[in-house]
Amino acid sequence: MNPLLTDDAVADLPLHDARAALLAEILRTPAPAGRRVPIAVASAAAVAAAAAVVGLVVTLPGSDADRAPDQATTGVAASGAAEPRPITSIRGDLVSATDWTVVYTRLTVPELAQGGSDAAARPVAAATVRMTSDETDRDVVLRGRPAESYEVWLRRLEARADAPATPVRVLGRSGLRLEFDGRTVLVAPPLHDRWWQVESVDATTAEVLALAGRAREAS
Amino acid sequence: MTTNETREQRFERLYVGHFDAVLGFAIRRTQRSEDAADATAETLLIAWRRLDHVPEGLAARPWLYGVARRVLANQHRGERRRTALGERLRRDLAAAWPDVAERVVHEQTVVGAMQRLSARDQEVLALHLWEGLAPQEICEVLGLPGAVVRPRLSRARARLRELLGEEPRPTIHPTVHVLTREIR
Repeated sequence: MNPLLTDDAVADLPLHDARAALLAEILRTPAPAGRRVPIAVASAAAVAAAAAVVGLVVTLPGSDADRAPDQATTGVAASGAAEPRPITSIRGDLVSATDWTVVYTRLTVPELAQGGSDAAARPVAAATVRMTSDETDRDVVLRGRPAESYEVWLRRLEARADAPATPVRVLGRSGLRLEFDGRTVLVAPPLHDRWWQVESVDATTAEVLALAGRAREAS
Repeated sequence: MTTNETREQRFERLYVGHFDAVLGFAIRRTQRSEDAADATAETLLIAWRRLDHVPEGLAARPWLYGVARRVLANQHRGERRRTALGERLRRDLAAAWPDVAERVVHEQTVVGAMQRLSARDQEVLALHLWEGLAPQEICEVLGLPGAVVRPRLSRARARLRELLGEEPRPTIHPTVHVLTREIR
């Protein structure tokens, strides 16, 4: 770390050619166009009638035995293991983990409808999971949205993403990982009456994947 | 975007105006030249891809810092995505790295005191003291509301003041210089 190296000092570094070369390289990179990632979209018909309560069970970073069997697909180190073992409900017990401790999980009030097309996709459930380590805290937010909004919302997310979506494990089922400006958003397709969006403003991709890979939605 | 400016021209303007700031941001937060070069290349590539979402003028700076912060965070957690871009930058920055070390003004007292704070406090203080960002701009970088950032910054400054026995001064940062460069 070189904390007090100012931008002026950086500007004086002999990087003129490298600066120009990188600019030329980037400009040769095709600008993104709207794209549609071919995926098998779960049928919204899988919708059960309105379940009033968020049935989200969180299993969290812990021993290898707690890891989801297909977590390797998330890119997080994992070995084969049994089905994730629920440790706590989202309603808020403390959970210990190897590196992280969940301080709380909190159901939050869904945002109010903003009108227009967004009204159909407004969250019907939301939860914040705060994890803490010796050094810092992370908040991961899960938003459940109406199942019927999934297709439209997904296309919108894909259009904004930096790169095509990649398959990952999210809340116990096959989902998608999208990147926006280096930020990671995970999407779990519809189950029952809703689909889930998982993201964080401060957790890294690995941390979001670790949490989402160990959490599942209760039936 | 100014009238008749092409996408390429707008990006070039952004690149020229902010390259040093992005590279400086990365250098101040990494130990290795290749990490700083990679983070810079990836951040600017994201800006190119997402150019329509990059704010105009000086507001672009916090946006770029926010992207760089996330790129670096993933790098630190071992998710380094080495970009195919920027080989020349990696090479030339590695050659200049010893020179970088010589130019650093070691205010070890302040740096040492900051390292005794929590990671969150360090981050908000670094954005304020090293990058010279105002609280609202820090909100943009961190993606957090002012109600979270302002008290955090206030507490962090108070803790640093306790450790140092004096008010921490922002590192002189060439905001005016950058602004001038943008206008040219």
